[in-house]
Amino acid sequence: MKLSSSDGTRLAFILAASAFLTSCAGRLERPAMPAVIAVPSPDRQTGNYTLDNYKTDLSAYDRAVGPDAVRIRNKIVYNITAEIDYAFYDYETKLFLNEGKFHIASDFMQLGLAAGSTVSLGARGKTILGALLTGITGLNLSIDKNVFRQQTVQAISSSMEANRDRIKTTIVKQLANDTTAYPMAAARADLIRYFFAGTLSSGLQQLGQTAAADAKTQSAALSDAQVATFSESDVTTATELRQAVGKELAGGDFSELIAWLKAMKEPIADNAAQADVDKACRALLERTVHDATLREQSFAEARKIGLIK
Amino acid sequence: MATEMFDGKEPLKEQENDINGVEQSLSAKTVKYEGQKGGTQNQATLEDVPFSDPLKPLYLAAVDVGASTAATISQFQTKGQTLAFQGTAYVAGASKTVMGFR
Repeated sequence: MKLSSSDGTRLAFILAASAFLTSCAGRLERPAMPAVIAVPSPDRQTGNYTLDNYKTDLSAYDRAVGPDAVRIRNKIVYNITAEIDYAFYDYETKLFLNEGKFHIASDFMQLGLAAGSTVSLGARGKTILGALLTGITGLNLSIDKNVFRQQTVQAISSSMEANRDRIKTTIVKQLANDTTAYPMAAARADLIRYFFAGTLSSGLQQLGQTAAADAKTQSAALSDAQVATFSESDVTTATELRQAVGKELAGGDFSELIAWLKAMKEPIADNAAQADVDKACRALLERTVHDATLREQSFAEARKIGLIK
Repeated sequence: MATEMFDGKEPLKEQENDINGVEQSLSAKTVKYEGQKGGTQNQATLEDVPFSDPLKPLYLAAVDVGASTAATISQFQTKGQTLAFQGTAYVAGASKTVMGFR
């Protein structure tokens, strides 16, 4: 096939555009990393808290007292927090980009078991986080692949972020305390919690808890909206009560009804007119339809006052 | 007119007790009873009745949706009870044609 000159120009344009778009795609994962936080930093001086840095700071912390100890503890905590944040956001980005890969069991497990995963922890995980997590064994993270599939990555990510924010707030507040109230060991325990709050299992767990709480709320709301079950005995008593209310209203002496309404804390004047008593009775009885306990109480008070036998 | 929601997972006899209890408590009679979409709840529409007026007890009967109701209606009529409402509602969680007689 022979190409005309206009076809050639068009083809050249398409190839140039493709090349441009391909280069853009390479940056889709994240923007270019600032040098100070790149892993490892180009000068190997900043933005990467190493295991050696940690050991040095820990030794200094052990020797220090008072404000110096607080300063070193806070330095360690903030540095490790930054490492965890880096690892988390790196992981979160991959989580979004590789959503499709979760359908492959091996990849899923690799990402799910964050403690042992090179994908989730990256280069930093092998250094300071690895040291931080030493001794954490038997995580027993059982992640149901089907559960994961039912959740969107966005929902899990939001859940992880919420978990992390909650724990980070606690840590930052604690840093105002001295090292007696908040020693490095306690900070380490909180940092471990902070790290695990950003794992898939934690996100799923939190989502499950939220869903369970929502279901409970919905169920309670549904029960509130529904009529509370009446037994045959309840129906008989409700019938007697209705007849008694009708008799009192027709008779013109509302004293027993007013006494009953007052006993049930229903607002009513001592000399209320028939229409007001009728209205108050309906308001009270409507509530008893949804609340079996209130119903029983209304029956008991009606018996006590002599409205019903 | 007021509406009340009932648990359509309950058997017919229990729903009958619930409706009678509500009617006596609210001094109102059911004029419509229908299942709600997307669940197993039934909604009753009730019309107020003066406390001093008599309110006969309500009896429920149910047949499969699409089945004839003539025999059931006739059976209640011989006992002097007339059809108060008829609609599709849930009984023990299943959709049925439910009739109310008083």
